[in-house]
Amino acid sequence: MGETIFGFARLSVRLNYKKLLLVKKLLLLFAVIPCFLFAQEKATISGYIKDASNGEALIGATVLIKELNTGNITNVYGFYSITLPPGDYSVIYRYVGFVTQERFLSLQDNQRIDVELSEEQTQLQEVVVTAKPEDENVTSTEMSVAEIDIQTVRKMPAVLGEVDVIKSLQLLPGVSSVGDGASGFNVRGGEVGQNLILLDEAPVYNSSHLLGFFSVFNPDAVKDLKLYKGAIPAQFGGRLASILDIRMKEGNSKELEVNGGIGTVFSRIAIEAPIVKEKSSFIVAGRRSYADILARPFVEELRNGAALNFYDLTLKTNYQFSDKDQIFLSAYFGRDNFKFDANQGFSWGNRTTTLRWNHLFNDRLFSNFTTFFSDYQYELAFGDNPRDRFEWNSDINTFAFKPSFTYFIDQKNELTFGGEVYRYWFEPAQARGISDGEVIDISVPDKQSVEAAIYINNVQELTDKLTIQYGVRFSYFNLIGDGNKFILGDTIAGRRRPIDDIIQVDKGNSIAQYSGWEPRFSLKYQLNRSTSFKASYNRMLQYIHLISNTTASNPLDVWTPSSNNLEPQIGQQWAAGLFKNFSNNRYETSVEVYYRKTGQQLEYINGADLLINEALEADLLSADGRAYGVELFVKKNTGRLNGWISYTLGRTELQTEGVNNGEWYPNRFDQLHNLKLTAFYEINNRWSLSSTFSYLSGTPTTFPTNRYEVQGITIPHNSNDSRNNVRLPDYHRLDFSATRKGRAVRKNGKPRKNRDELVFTVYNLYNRANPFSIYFWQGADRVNVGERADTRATQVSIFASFIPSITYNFKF
Amino acid sequence: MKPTRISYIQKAFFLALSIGILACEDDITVDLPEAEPVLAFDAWLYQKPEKQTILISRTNTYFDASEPEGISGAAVNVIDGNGTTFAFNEESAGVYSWLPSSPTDTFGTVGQSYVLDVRIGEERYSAFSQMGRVPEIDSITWRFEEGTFGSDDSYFAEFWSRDFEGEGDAYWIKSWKNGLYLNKPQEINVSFDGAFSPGGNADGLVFIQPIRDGINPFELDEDDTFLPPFEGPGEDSIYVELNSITPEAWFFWNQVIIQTDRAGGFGELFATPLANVESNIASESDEQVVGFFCVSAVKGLGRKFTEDAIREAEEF
Repeated sequence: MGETIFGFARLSVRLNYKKLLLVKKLLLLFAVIPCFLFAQEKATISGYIKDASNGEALIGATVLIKELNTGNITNVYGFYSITLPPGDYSVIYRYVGFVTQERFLSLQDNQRIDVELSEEQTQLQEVVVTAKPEDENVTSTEMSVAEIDIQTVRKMPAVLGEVDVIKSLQLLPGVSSVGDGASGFNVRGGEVGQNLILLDEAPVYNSSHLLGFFSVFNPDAVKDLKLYKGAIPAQFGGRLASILDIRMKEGNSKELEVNGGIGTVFSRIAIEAPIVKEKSSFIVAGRRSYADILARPFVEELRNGAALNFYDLTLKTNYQFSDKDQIFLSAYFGRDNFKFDANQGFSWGNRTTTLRWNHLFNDRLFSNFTTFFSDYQYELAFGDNPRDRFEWNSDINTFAFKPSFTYFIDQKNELTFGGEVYRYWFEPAQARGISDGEVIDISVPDKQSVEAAIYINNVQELTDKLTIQYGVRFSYFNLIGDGNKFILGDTIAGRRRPIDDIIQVDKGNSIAQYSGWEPRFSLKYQLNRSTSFKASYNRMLQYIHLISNTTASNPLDVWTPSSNNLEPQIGQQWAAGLFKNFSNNRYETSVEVYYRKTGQQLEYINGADLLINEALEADLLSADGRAYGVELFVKKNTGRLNGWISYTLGRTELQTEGVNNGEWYPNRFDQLHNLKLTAFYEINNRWSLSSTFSYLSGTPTTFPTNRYEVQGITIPHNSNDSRNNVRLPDYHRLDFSATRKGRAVRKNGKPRKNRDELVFTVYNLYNRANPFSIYFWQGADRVNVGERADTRATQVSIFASFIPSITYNFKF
Repeated sequence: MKPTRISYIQKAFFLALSIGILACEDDITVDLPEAEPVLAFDAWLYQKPEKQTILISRTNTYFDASEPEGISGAAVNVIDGNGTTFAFNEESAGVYSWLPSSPTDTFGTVGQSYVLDVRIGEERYSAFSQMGRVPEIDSITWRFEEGTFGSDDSYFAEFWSRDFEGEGDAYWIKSWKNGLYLNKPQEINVSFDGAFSPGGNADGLVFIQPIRDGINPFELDEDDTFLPPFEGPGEDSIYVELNSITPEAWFFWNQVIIQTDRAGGFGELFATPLANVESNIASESDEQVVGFFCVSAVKGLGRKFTEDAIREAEEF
């Protein structure tokens, strides 16, 4: 906390006063206008909507005023507020999959109405594809959002049966990855490092276990996830391509609940229970890979200090002090360990802790104060004797404070404003080498920076048909000394830049600072009850960068701050879409087009030295980018057979001097066609099926054209000097899973408290070896002196065959 | 001093295999984009009492393993900083050589700079290099390593030498096992100031262990398990050569390693894109050329793997 205050003080001194003044004026303007327009006698109804079975807040539940045909939806804490002229109303509380409640009230003064909704108990429980209001996709101003309910995520077939939050997102329009086994995801042609992944508001810097095969989020602890691909609200910033907002469960506040399972890779357990009934609860959820434990008796190395495991632990607790105050404390800890013996190996992991305080200043002003800590760290150690070793730690550490406010001005205006201050510590390499007993310190100096932003955003219903959302974010970044400021000279584009000078910058002084406006705008025009048109524009600035020039990002990739040589990345996106539902929201459809223009994206010189290199910036190039496409989405929400079709036609390209003769070239993950089909079928109340099909155009890659020899080594050469000049074969895959639920009733007819299920999964059902890459080499055999190597092309598939698996899940 | 060749990641993948995920590889036939051949130089000169050769040819298409077309009729000269010209005469098409005047005479002097000057018809090509210093190899020893994760017990040869004080010394280390030159891309062993690369600011060190180990043969069996480089004392021998190279040549070999030492399998997840290796040879008309010109001073040492060549390593 001290650090944050320190950061604030420093920031206020350094912020340009003129800009500050401007921001103040703007804030005033935004806040005052709507109040003036609608100043009249009003009363407010507000409260929380929760799940009656476990007390979890329901995010995005609808509150509808029947008489006015207007309403609101609950925020991420389950809070709603509606301000109305006094009168008699019937209020409808609705959430898909839950029993709708209707309350009649005579509204004179402000009223607090907390509601608990119960799950629908149908004989044959229909699979709920979305837990949002049926027509939210059409009626809300939000667009370019990919949402997937955690219940749905659980039902999808997954690699080795391990339910995966991030991989499931790739079944939605505009989301893809570079191939099987690759870590992270690409949104509308953006890089993996251009996604901001927030777990209870704390950024998670590496989202993968086992180098990319599984994501680090335990599905048993996740309550809600939402991916903003465009039209990003002003409260979010810091990355160009997307924001993935993951919210953890709060824990059952009514009764003890235990969920768990044994999968092919992980065994899992989650315990949640009330601490003080209805006021406080907790959840503890853990997962661990267990292959090493089973193998231990048979593998001597594992008993002697070798390790192969990955695990994560999620904790959350909350306490409701009063009607107006609630605090949440959540924490995440995850780790991957690969050790060859007790002294050598590789491990990495994320840690986050978030403390939040929800406070209701009054019925219309909701506030949340968040402070968090997030850290990603890895360490390597090699050398099997103490006289010859190499040790390396790297770390990115973040501490932040974020106040945010929602002011429900009236039924036509909802104002959101707030700010955030991030303090970063970058430790690219704490490293030392020992050679024949001599120790050398090869560490790269730490870097520190502050990133701050203030924002204001209003959602305003101009007419019955037209709603607009307008906001602005002002962000600021300062790379602070002490540290070395590298002055780089010019050279031929694409080559390492020479270091002209190194300036020592003292502690507390600035090495480089940047700031900028990030306007956000979107509108929704309701064409009729079931159809709407939406459009949006946003500008984003990204001040910290993921340094990665490999096909898939890997755990050794480091995050680095902007500096005098590395300017912030800038992105602007325009999007428009048509949203229509059919048959009383049974079918949901949308078409969106988007165009994103980016500047100062990262590219790398040939032979770039990215790790443990203080002069890293000399190896970076600044590229322009453009990405555009069309996304189609058709979803059947209800019925025994339901699911969706997602199709994206897209392009993503880069251009920089020094690569591909300075001409535009496709990004490594550019895929023209991206088709995903997802289907769920309920056979009876014990058996259900699910299946997904993916079809993606081949990703581009670079082929050589020629070869030559230098001192007996055959070197590939592309004499057109082109980048990503060839396409890999197309990718397609079918996955299938069947779930058998345990009996719901005992033999004596009473319902069983304990529930369990078996999930049978086959990944890659028709056994296709989808190419991940094609590489060129001279073969494994030694070439005799005087002879010539037999050059060849080799295709690599990551999951080359079908993968069957069984998972057992239980709940009591 | 850092693992730029992260075989460690491959090691991690090797462990990952144990949980049952399998990648697969197939040699395939692909169509390559059309492209014009370009001029290729192989001009590496050594301070040795023997014939020095410069090869000039045109590149083949990538899958063509036949002898490339040699360039005849070029005027090939190397000129040192004192203005002395070493004329390289055409031996056969594309092969240009210089012979020392006596059996003890060698090419080049440490510290001297050299310019390669080639004329082919109207076109002129040039490159610059400098002969760096090279330390003596003090000794060669063998170290025992117990086999883990299914690999056999083995011995690793190590050479012992120390980098000079002062930054910017780069070396290319070649080795021969039982007279067989180790020339696989995985066996290219280059060092900067005794460590891996310039970014790490190492200097004046005994060559670090991965570089010392880099003289061993890299052999895999059909199942891609590492074969022991040496099984035990006996008739085996090793010969090691330290060649001084320029920092540009270090960068050249570093790029060659990235382009040729392909991880394969899961390692392809973390492969960098194929890119052209930079040449230090320039043409007057900006014609695209490939290859490299470098002059190297050389120190060598050989040893037979006898019992007394085993060096006990300290244990944790």
